Amino acid sequence: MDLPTLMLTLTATSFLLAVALWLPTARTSRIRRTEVYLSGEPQAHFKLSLVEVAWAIRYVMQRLYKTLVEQVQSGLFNDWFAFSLPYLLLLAVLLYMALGG
Amino acid sequence: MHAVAAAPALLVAIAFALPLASLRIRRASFFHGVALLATSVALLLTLYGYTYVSSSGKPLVYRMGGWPPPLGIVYEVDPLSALLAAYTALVLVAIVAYSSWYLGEDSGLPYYYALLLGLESGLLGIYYTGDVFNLFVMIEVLGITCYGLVAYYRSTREAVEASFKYAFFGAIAGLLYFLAAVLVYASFGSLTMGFVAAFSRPVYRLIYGNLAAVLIWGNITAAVGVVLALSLWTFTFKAGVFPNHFWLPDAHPAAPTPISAVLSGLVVNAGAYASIRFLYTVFGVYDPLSEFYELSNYVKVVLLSVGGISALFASIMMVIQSDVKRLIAYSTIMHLGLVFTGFSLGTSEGVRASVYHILTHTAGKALLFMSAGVAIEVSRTRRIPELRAVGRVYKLAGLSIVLSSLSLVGLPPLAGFFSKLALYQAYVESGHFEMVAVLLISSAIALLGYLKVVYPTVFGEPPVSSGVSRLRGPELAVALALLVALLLVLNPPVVGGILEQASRAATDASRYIDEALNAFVDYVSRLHPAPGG
Repeated sequence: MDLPTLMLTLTATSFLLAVALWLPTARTSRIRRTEVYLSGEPQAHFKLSLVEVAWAIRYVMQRLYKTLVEQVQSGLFNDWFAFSLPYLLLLAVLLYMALGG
Repeated sequence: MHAVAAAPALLVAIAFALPLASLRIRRASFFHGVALLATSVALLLTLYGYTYVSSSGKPLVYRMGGWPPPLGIVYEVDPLSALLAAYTALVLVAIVAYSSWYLGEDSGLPYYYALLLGLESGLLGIYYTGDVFNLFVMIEVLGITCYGLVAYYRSTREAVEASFKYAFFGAIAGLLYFLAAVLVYASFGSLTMGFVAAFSRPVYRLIYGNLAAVLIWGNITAAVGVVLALSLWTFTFKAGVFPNHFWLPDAHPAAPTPISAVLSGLVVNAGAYASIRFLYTVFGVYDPLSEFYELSNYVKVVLLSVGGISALFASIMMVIQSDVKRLIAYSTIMHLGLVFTGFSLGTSEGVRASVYHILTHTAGKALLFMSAGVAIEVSRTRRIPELRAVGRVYKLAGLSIVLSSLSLVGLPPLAGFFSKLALYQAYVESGHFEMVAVLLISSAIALLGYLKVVYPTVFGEPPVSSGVSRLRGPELAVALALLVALLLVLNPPVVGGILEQASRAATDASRYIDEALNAFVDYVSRLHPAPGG
């Protein structure tokens, strides 16, 4: 690898590492939870209701929804990056290695 | 200046002029009128660009400031980019007409339209540009205007918070794409997409050996893997595809309804277009003549996975939403996931189906947001169980909600059916039957979500009379009727040829490359005319 490419790759890698190292420290016990969205779906929004068209699927998939809302669409930045950052690393490693880098 | 290049420049000029004009002019009708005029002129210019490019049979290269590629920035407009630009301009005319009804005498009109026209300029710039760095600039123009428009209701916590989240993620995405652009220049020695495309294919390096020897100073093989990783991450963020979708369900509902329609119907398309342009034209990942063809299987697996997960995840999340705009926002994630699965197949049928689905989704989604906005207006709430049956007092709005929902579900004879059928055919022809299952399951689950919106707004309780007084005026009717017409006319006999030309432009990069190289050769030959010439 030539020098400019190596330098840029190292810069990019160090940036990603810095973010990865920063994430655990960014976790604080004093997380501000606002009443507005933050991407979380409040529990009350998926209680069983016979009058709604989608009641059956909501009932059948209650556990799935609980997992999705609490683990995926939680609304916390840290949780978002837990998905987005590995996706970036996967892309980078996969495509770089695929070209024999 | 060529008429095609005039559209983004005109829109930016008017965007800057509007806040200045507001120092002297207070009348709301002035700002509505100027915005409608500007978007209409932009529509005419983009339509002219489309007819020019499609009839000439080759991409148009516009050299900014007269500088030839690779020294200067160029716009390179082919049938794919010209089609998406003209379609964007058409839908924005409907959205500006709707805005004039929705915002009425709002005091923030100069800034609203300044941002909206800036947004349109950014979108057209993304479609037209033939330069990797200029694409970064246009992505930032688009992003910054979007952040401002999401925070338009800046007195509400929801809007400020959603805008902040969008901007935070957007800043990271912009930084990563910027790094990708730097890597492209550090390795290829050029930022012109046509030149990068040429140097990605060994046959062109053979023909233009001297040029390649001067420009290429880095290890392009090592760089392209990282460039594509950074770019695709940014483009999936722009498109709102899993796992980079997190900002979208907050940002789209928090914006004013016409902006929700723009974000969900038009802005996300930029990410899909840029992905197609990079994968097919610039680096030729799916082109056997490209040096990076061996990436095709890896890219296909990753994008099919994220697209499929997006479609399933978002359709499941649609079912539990109680906020109508949030439900429609999840539907956007689902449809863009399907778009990504189409073009990641690596076939011309897949690209054709993806472009087709972009067109039908844009019309359906903009119409659903706008008609749901009418229901929100008369019901004074976004909570689905409390929405009133706007269809009982304003038939066109009710019809729009039904037609747009059914089109997004994929029921015939509406446009969404034909684009989903095209996706289905592309999956089957490439042997990806698992994606057929994803398409059918996500559509079936999403149907439950759409029915949640249709039922109260068409068959529910009628609205109170005080809320319906605003449902008059030609602007609203024109905006809804235009998009309803699009859902009815976007069928294969009408758009088949247009889509064929666009998908051929995407999958066959030779003309795109030739025109960029010719622009350079022409310039040099004029500097040094042949003896006796």
